[in-house]
Order: sequence, then structure tokens, then C-alpha cells
Amino acid sequence: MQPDALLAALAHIVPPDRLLTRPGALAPYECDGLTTFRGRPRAVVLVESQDEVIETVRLCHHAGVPFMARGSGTSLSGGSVPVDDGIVIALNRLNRILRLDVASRVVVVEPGVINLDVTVAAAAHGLYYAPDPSSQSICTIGGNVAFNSGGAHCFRHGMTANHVLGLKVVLPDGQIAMLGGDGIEAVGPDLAGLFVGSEGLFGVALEITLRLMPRPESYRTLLAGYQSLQAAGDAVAQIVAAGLLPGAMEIMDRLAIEAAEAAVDAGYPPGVAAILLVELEGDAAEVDAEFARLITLIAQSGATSTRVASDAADRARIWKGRKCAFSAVGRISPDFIVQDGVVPRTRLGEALATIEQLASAHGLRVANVFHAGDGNLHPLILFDGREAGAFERAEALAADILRLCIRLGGSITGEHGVGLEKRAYLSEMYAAEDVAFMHRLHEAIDSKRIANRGKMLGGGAMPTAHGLHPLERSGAISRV
Amino acid sequence: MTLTPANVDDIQEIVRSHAAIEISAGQTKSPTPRRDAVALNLAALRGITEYSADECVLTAYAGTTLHEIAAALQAHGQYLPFDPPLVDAGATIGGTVASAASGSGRYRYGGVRDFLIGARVVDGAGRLIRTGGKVVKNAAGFLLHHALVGSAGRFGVITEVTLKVFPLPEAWGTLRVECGNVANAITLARIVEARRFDLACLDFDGQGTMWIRIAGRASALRTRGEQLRAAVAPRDADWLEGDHDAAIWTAAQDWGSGHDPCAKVVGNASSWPQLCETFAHMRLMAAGAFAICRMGDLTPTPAQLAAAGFAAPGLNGIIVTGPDAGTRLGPVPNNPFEERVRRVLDPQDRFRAAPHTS
Repeated sequence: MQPDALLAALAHIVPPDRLLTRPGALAPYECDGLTTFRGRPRAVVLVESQDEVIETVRLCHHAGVPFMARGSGTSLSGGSVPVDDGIVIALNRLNRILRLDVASRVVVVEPGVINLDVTVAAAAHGLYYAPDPSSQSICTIGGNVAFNSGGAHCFRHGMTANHVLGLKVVLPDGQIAMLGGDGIEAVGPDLAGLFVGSEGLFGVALEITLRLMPRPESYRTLLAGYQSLQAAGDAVAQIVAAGLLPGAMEIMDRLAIEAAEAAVDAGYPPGVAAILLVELEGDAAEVDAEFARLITLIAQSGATSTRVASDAADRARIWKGRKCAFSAVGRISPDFIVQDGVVPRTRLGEALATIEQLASAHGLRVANVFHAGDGNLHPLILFDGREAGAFERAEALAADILRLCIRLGGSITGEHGVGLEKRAYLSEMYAAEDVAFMHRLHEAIDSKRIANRGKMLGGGAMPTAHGLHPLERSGAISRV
Repeated sequence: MTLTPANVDDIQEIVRSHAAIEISAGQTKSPTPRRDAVALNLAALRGITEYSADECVLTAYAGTTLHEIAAALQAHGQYLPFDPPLVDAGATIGGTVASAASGSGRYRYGGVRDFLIGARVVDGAGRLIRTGGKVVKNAAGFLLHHALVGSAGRFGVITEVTLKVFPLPEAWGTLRVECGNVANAITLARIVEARRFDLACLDFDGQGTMWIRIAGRASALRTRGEQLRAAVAPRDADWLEGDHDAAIWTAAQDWGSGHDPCAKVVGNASSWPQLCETFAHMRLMAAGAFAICRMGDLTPTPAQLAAAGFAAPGLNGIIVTGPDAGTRLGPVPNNPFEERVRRVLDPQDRFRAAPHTS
């Protein structure tokens, strides 16, 4: 099929106002939250029904033209950068909540539903959706499924894969498959679990059955200040060793605290080297008993200050500081790279000390924000893109940090995915035969390699790294 | 012929040199090898290879018994929260993963699928593949280990698994309530769930006896137990602790045997009253998300199954113990995704003859 023939065929699927082909209309779809990579799609199809997705996928398969399904484009790994001259299937309008089954604690949604909207819909019934990436107010469930998104509660509650019970998907050749079931237990292999995190390479999720959790009766959120990152990290180890199972344990270092305070008045203690945020959840009587234990542990851990959230509003304020940390760093540095790696929790201290040494060797500053409960680091590498060579040095430091994670027995990504950004590191984390298997599986699912081509496993024409957005480079815009 | 390799190299060699292979280990679910296949028994491939209590991560060979794992964990105040069944019968961790066997405790923190974070598997070409890792959060690469949960030996030989583990609660207690019949029990389950207690387990049986378990700090247990009692009032309820509590949940791990096979049935509230007519003895777990049913005299012929409601959507099942273990109850639709995954892992159909192909 000739290019024009594909566009003509697409025009039979959606009306003209939902088929974008003019350069100005395509521009917003050229990159995602990473901004390092860009691609210029041939067209963007604004779908409004599952059938439109299926028809578009079938046409692309027939024409051998790559397609990429996209939600809000918040990927931090270049996962939603289109292939040059490919088709973008924009799923934002496919955003209905199809069924909310309170008794079974499940909800069935379309892929364009915003993560937080699931919890909003379930809240009246005392339920919530647990995975809470920092971008939860804009990112979509479809993207969460593709990249196995995480959040702050993964040690206790797991990642997206643990909350997706069933999927209706369209495979890259247009076939439909039903994976998993509609309850917490299923019969047969957990194929929904395999589809989650496949970064769009296995096709497009059309309907997603999610597990909802009962909202705990009580939360207790504690903020402790420390004179060193190491002391905060040690406190986490002591909490786990004492048999407590907090819903979340987060650490931020001095730079990250400074940034968060500048952006939102989170009320973090001034002058400390690190803060540790611990949140207990459960029945009120249980949380009270756990809190008594926690406060003793924190006192013994050398905390210089402690503060307990006084009410729900105060709790929200503490979390806001943490969740805005990425963008807040824009206030203290013209540019930055958000990195995402995992180390075994017991090696957090070692990892942080090494990152500090690496940063200083590269002449760069790093702000650290991390999910301490599960060893998921988010070093924010600060640099000034207007300075010659600074972006390259920042990338070199990011590479060193990823290799550190591999060396310590961790992962190159805890929740952002491999995308375009980390293709080169997958084969450093896994053995050649493990990666070879992934290629064989990819080939079997998508023999033409048209679904989100180039992500995770490479292949096809690579989108080029452009460094900063031209407007960012010139200082006209910044990420705040 | 039964082969009992004690190392992974031997398993790879066995796979390469046999056309049809049937995998077992503790033989608690499927007691006797069947059909014209080589029986590959993993009981000798055993041992915990890595366990860091501080990390809350344990790695073990597939043939390691749950008993051994539970003992090692308990020595460090930890446990597998999903209550895998058949511990006392000698079930292994590999079989638990392959059969997706989660018990009553899966209600609170999730099942096998939520605790498996990595695995090694020998595929049908004899290749050893590692999937996932040893950290609880990992979004790198295709997460094949998820698909091994419930794969029933059809995707390859699981040789090693890595699990997330949790701290063992300090104290446990169970409230036992007599509801009279299953419909009343379902009603009560909804009432209790609406209160959003942080429950460890919520089981009931076909006769309407309900067991609600809570776990946590000893100092809070009785207070929570009283709140639970108030929530089920005016129904009579008995509060059980210590050995009396433990005995209930040990009994729930008995999923039958070769002489007394069981099926796992997945359904919803509307399924259970009718199923009570079919299965005289059934225990519904996780507030009725699934049931472990004694097969009794039921033979899984299509007609019998259809009569029991298994042709209807939303009701699905699989025989989990006994000579017919692996037989699906109800229709198994063609799944193009599953078939492609299977063909990649087992291009020569070495595992296809395994008993779990219905």
C-alpha cells in the first residue's frame, strides 16, 4: 500500500477532524516526557472507539507501516516517541470506565482513562487504585499497562502488573486476544502479567480489568529529618527488620528537599541532609500499635526532627512535595535528567555514596529522590544545556549510574521502562540468551515489528537523540 | 521412565534428548506420571540458593519444598503471605508457581503472581532463560516469569524462582461465624468487606461457616477482633487464637490428593449457590473470588460440567489434584497470544503432551 493509500484508508475509519496530518497538528506528538528523542509521524488518528483502534492496527499491519499507541505522552524513557513517518493512535478519547463492580472490587476501563480518575470513580465506594506514579493526575492506564508503572507503594502493593487482572488486546496483526480474567484468581498462565510492561511491542490494550483495594481505615504519615543520607537509609533497614510493613517509605536528599520547598510549601524540616517519609496504613488500632513501634525506631535511628501529618490535608501537603520533586528540580537547575534504577534495598547506602562520587567526577550535581522501600532510585542529574558538552556529561553520568545498578544486582529501570533511552543497557542487565529470547518472542508476536517499533529491543530506524528541545536550549521554556 | 536430575545442566540435556516430557516434583497435585512421556521429576533439584531477610527476597530451586522454605523464613520472622497449599503433603515451590496455587492468605497481599519476581526456565530447546530479577521493582524487558504462573509445565521447566517475602505478623486471630447457608455467607462477606477491615483471610464453605482472620501487632489484635465481632452482630461468632486459629488455616491448605481430588473454581457471588448443588464440599476463599471444591463423584464430562454451569461466562475451573490434575472445567477458548508464546518456548511441542493440556 502506498503512503497516500494508507492515509486514504484511515480517512474511511475516522472523520477528517480526527485524522491529523498537518505539521502543526503533528508537532505535539513528536516527543514525550523525556524530550530527548523526537520523531515526526505521518498521521495521528484520534480514536474514539475500540473498533477504530482495531481497524487502524489492521491497516498499518497490511501496509507494513509502524504504529504507536499513545496516551498522555508522559513516558520518561522515550516510550511514546513515534517512528518517523509512522502512525500515532491517540487513545485519550477512549476514556470510558466501562464497569465498576464494587462487590468484586474490580473496574474495567479503556486505555485512555487517567490513572487518578480510577481512584476518583472508586472513592465513593471506599475503594482505590493502588499504583500511583508521580504523574498519576495525567498519565493514562494504557501507558501504565505498557510500561508496568510503579509509584510509591510497590514494596507492599506491587506494580501495575499486580493490579491488572484481565486485558482485551489487539495484537500487532489485528487479532484480538483476551488475557487473564475478571477476578483476582484466574485459570491458566498469567498472560496479562506478561503483556504488562511489554512497552507497546505486543499491541494495544483496549479494555483493562483492574483490581481495586479497600481504602485503609487509617493512615499515619511521619516525616523524619537526618544529618546524612546514610542515616535515613539505615532507618529504613531497621523498620523492615522490625517487622513493620509500611505502605510507603520515601527518601529525599538536601537538593531535592530544597527544590520541593521552593515549588510547594511542603513543610519539610530546614537544614537537614535527608528526609525519610514513612506511611503506615491499615486498621486504626493496628496503625496505632505499629506507630508506637515506629516512633521508637525513628528515635533510635538518630533522626534530628520528626513530624507527623496532623490531618488529611497535611498528609496531602507532605506527599505533594514528594510527588512534584521531579518538576520542582527545574527551579534549581536549568536542565536535568530524571534517572530510574533499582538496587537491592540493603545496598542503598553504598549506591548513594557511589552516585555522589560519580557526580563529582563528572562535575555535576545530583538531587536524589527515591522509593527507599523497594530500592528504586531516582537520581536527578542537574546540568545547564546551554553549556557546551554539559548534556553529554549528564548522559555519561546517567550511564554510570545504570551500570552501578546492574553491578549491585538491581535493575536498569524500576518503573519508567526501557523505551528508547535504555535500549543499550538491556543487554548489560540480561545475558545474551535472555535478550535473544525476548527477540524471539517479539518476532512471534509481531513479525513485521510495527508495534511501537524501536522501543526496548531496538530494531528499525532509530529516532535520533536531539538533546534538549530547541526552546529549552534557548532558555525560552523550562520544565517546572 | 522417570528421570530425577539434580542440576540444571542435566535438565537441559534431558529436554534436548526427549520428544515428550512431563514435569513433576513433589507429586502432591498430580501423583502419577501418565501418558507416553518421560517423567522429569525435579524433587532432587532442591535448596534455597539465596535468602536475604533484610532484603525480603528468597531464591530457591524449583524442587525445594514449601516446608523447607517456610522453616527458613520463619527463622527470620518472615513468611509467604499467599498461603500456598499442600505444605504438609510435600508440595514444592516450582509446582506452586506452575499451578498458580495460592490459598486463603492471597486475600490480603495477593497471590503467587504478586510475589514471584524472577525465575529461570529451561525452554523446549533446552535453553536456560532468566526472567525478572532479584529486586522487588523491575520494569526491564519482557516479564516472562508472570506467564510461568499457572503455566502448568507447558512453557518449559521452571528450575529456580525468586520471591518477595514479607515480615510475619506478630499475632493472628480468627472469628468463626455460622451463617447457615452459602447465600447468607455471601451477604455477610459483603457487609464485612464494606467496612474495609484490613483482613488477612475471608473464607467460607458451602454450608455457610465463615472464617475471618486478622493478623498484626499482638497489642491491637483483640481490639480489632472485637470490632469485627461487632460488624457481624447479631450473628453468633467464636474468637479463636493460637493453635485453634492455626488449625483452621492449616486445614484450608489441604487441597485433596490422588484419592480425593479437588478443583479450583473461579467465579463470582452469583456462581456459588448453584455450585453448592454440584460440589458437596467446597471452600470459598478470598471473599468468594475462588473456591477449592472436592470433586467427589463428579467426573468432568462435558455434559456434567455444562449442567454445573461451566459453560456460562464468568465461571472457570481446573482440576488441581488427583489423576486428572490439569484438566480444565469448561470451555478453553483459543488464544492467539498464548499460542504464540507457547510456540516460542516450545517449538517442538516437547511439553505439549503434559497432562495439563486439556
